[in-house]
Amino acid sequence: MSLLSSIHFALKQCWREWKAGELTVLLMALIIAISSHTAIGFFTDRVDKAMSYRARDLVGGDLILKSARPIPSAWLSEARDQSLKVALTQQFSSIVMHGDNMLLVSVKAVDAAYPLKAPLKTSQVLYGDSQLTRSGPKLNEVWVEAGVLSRLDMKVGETLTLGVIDLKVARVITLEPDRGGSMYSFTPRVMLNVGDLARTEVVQSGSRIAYKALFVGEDENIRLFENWLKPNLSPSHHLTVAGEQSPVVGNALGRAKQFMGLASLIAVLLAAVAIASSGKHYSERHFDTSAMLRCFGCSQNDILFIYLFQLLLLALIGSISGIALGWLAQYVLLYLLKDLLPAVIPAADWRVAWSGLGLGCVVLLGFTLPSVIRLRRISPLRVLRKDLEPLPLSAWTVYGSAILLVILLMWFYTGSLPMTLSVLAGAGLVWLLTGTFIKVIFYLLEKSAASLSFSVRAGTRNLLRRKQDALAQTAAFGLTLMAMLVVLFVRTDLLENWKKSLPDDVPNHFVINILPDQVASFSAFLEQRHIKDNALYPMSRGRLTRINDLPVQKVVSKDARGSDGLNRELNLTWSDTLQADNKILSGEWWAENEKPDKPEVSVESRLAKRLGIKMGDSLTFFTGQNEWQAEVKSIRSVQWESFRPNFYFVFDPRSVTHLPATYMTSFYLPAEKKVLLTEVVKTFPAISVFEMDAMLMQLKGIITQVIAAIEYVLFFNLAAGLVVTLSTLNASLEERLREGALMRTLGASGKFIRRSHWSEFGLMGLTAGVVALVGAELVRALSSIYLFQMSYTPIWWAWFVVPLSASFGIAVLGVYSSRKVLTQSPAIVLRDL
Amino acid sequence: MKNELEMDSQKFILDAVAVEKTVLLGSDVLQILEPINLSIKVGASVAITGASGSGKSTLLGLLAGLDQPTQGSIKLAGHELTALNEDERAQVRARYVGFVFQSFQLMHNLTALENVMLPLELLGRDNPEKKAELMLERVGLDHRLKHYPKQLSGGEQQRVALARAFVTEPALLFADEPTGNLDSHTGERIADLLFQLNEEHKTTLVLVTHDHSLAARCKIEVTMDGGVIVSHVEQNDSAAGLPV
Repeated sequence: MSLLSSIHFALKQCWREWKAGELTVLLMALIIAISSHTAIGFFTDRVDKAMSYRARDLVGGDLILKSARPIPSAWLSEARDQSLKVALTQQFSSIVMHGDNMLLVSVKAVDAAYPLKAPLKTSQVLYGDSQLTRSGPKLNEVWVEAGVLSRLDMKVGETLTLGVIDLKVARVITLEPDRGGSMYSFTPRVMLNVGDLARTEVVQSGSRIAYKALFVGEDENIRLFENWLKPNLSPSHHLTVAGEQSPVVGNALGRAKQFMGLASLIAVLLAAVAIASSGKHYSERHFDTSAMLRCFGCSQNDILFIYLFQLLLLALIGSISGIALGWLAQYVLLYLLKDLLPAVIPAADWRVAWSGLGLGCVVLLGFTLPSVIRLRRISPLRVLRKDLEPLPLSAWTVYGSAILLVILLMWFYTGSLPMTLSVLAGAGLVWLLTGTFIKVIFYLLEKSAASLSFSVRAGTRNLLRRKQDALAQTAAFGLTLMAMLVVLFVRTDLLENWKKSLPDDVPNHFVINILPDQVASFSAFLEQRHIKDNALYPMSRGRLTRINDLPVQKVVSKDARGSDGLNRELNLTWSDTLQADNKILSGEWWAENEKPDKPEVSVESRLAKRLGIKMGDSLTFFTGQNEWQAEVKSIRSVQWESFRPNFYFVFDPRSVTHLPATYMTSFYLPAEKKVLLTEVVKTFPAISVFEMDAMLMQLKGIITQVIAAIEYVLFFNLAAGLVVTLSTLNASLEERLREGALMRTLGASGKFIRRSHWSEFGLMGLTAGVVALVGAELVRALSSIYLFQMSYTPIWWAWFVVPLSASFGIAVLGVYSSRKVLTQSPAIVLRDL
Repeated sequence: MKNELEMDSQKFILDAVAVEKTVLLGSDVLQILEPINLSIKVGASVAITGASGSGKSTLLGLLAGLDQPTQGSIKLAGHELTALNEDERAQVRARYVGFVFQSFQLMHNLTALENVMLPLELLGRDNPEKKAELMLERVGLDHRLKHYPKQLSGGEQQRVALARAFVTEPALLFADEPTGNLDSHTGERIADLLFQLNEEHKTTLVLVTHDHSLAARCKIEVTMDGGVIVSHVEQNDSAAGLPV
């Protein structure tokens, strides 16, 4: 046939088969697979963006430029030219006074554009209700944090003195979203209008001021501006691109992203299972047609072309419909979550649609092409001898290439090799175990056939007769179940982990500057008031200046220059024992009885990675007036989300006796006991107390969103799994119908057939349940350890619940989907097939 | 092509010489067909009869080029089938051959009309729909054009199969037990139709059957037993070659 007439013929055949309902199952499987994949893709992409936008609130802009000198106005006008919004702030430490009281505060002068991102929260009375506030203070007034009022012993409406002018305290700041995630770097905030700054006369030449420009705009514009700006920067400038969140929020979001990736991966796996089982069925149904076409004179290549064309058309139609459905479904998901998500959710990335299309084509062709090649080889003699089937291809030939493609796809979508490998390991285990289990079960059944009741025997005989089909079907159920269990288990693990890391009494106050001789009385003070404090840690301020004798700025790549550990004073601590939630990743904690010759230090793992610090490196610190060196003895992971005091650098206490120390601690204080804070500050005037409620609330808010999103994604995966199970069941319906009709013709009662179905599906479900659980536990163990950095504990109850409910569930679905066997007249069935 | 063959009615459209078929069953060689010679002239009608397992269907498969013999030569319309590969044999089938089967072999996912159109479309003939409609009208199914095979009775399905076989006007028609799946009354009517169409289209007919009354309507009756042609009866003139 010529190409044109082949296309014409293939199109016609496709339309005819569609009309006759031949392609429905395959197309449905494809649509379900692609729609669940793209719905999760679109949804996670948008939620992810929304959440990271929200995380940008924490830094106050999409792009932040910090400098010790005023930011050139040419840069600002360039930003405005590129359609970015710009806000400027200046920050410095100063003393404020009220009456005889003085206090060191962190002053922030803001312009009219501030805040660019999330609004501030302020209240009109101390510890009163907060309102969202979308601008900064007006001229002649200041806004202050609660600590300022309590420590200066003043009320809202009174005036404080900054430099040479008096300013009225107009509001109490309860939340300053861009205050920053680092917990110990701040003294209480006083915020004023930049217009008042010059009049205060506190800023003189030589004053240490941190100038900040915040930029907000479309991603593309931000990127363009960033590229324009970078070559102009000098080492004194620090550019931060939002998205590099605080470790606390970063962890929560990171895990959520990983979970979403896992869910999307599971959707790919489900798609593969669905297509593989209905693709095989599709090719088998075309044996006769192909033989007949060969009789009519079609060449092998004609046959190949016709079916390839048909499949490609199906892949396109199925993928595009799937993408459209996925697009709609993500709107439903977002609608359901609307109360939790930010009001404006960025549009989804169209790359998700392309990936859906790619997935559709790869999976459909990958899993059906080998069967179609088989169709090509069919002998035309089959028209005379129905039993002639084309030589079966080995399972490896059939699925090898497709599996390889799916692996590549999974890797591509998740960008995480460990995750892909975990899921693959689970799926591989399910496949192997299914094969082994089925063989063992078949062996046992054959041995014990005589002792079973006749109907159960008939059911098991059904299984035995179709060994290959039973194996494929059980493996499909197993994989589907495994996929569902993995998302279910991992979601439960994540939730529990978050709950554990943020209990209701997570410390919401941090105290620093406790003098060494006040440690005991401070602890006693808290104890008398039934406030549980966490351990007290010594603390000294210092800078990291050199790594292995090279200045830090030179060692570190330009990108890492914004790193926290570099540009500000750090809190250094020392301790005999390792904090309970810290973990040594490499090296060793100091031995008790060996006094070190020179200072030894343990470094937090992320900072170590960012700065390229390795075991044995020599770090130079600058404290007070001294420079001194310490050797890296261990690298440590820290649970930043624990909200307990945590440190980048911990020293061996015997090696840093030269450091001056104050102490810090954290404690939980419920809202109704907040008034105690005033008493604390009065009793211990030297200390500084930081309220972390606002930040905790922000974090909890983000986690609530993440959890809700995860719940819906889970639901979507489970629904997709159910549909895949049904379509797998459907694939064997025709064979079952024929057998049922024969049995009934031979006099079997409906009750008998139903019982044999119950036992057949029940056994299949039981096997699938067991192997799925083994596979899911493997995936869970691997992903917990390597991906989510959580501990793994087996879920023992699942060993009872999962196999039994899988057995029951699959039996119910199987018997239900086979109900036609009983309702249709055997005469019609036998004639039609 | 049919016309060019018709020009010389003495020419053999099918010429099988020393055709043998053996299959391997484990380590045993099973001889299904002993060496067979059979020549069929253009326009002849040949019935191959015999009991089940006598090898008649195997012979049909070989003659139609659906299968390859172990030994011997088969010429179909001058083409040496044993020298052709499967795709080349498919081309020969497309040009010269039509089929009717015991189990009808209609495509269940195509309507009656589409089933009949299919071979015309594959040959790239003009107006396939019109021609198929006319043919279905000829077999008395003009009211069943849009029905699917499962909506038709056995007799109706075989009439569709006949329409499909004749619509391309093949030079040679192979029929494998065309009435085997039908009751005697319906079978008789299908046989009538088959011979009428054969007469109208001047097709060479090779018919496999164990129905003697059907065989008797052919000009030549070849009887097989145990893979050997045991008798070769010509009803009137000599249109066939001699058995070995």
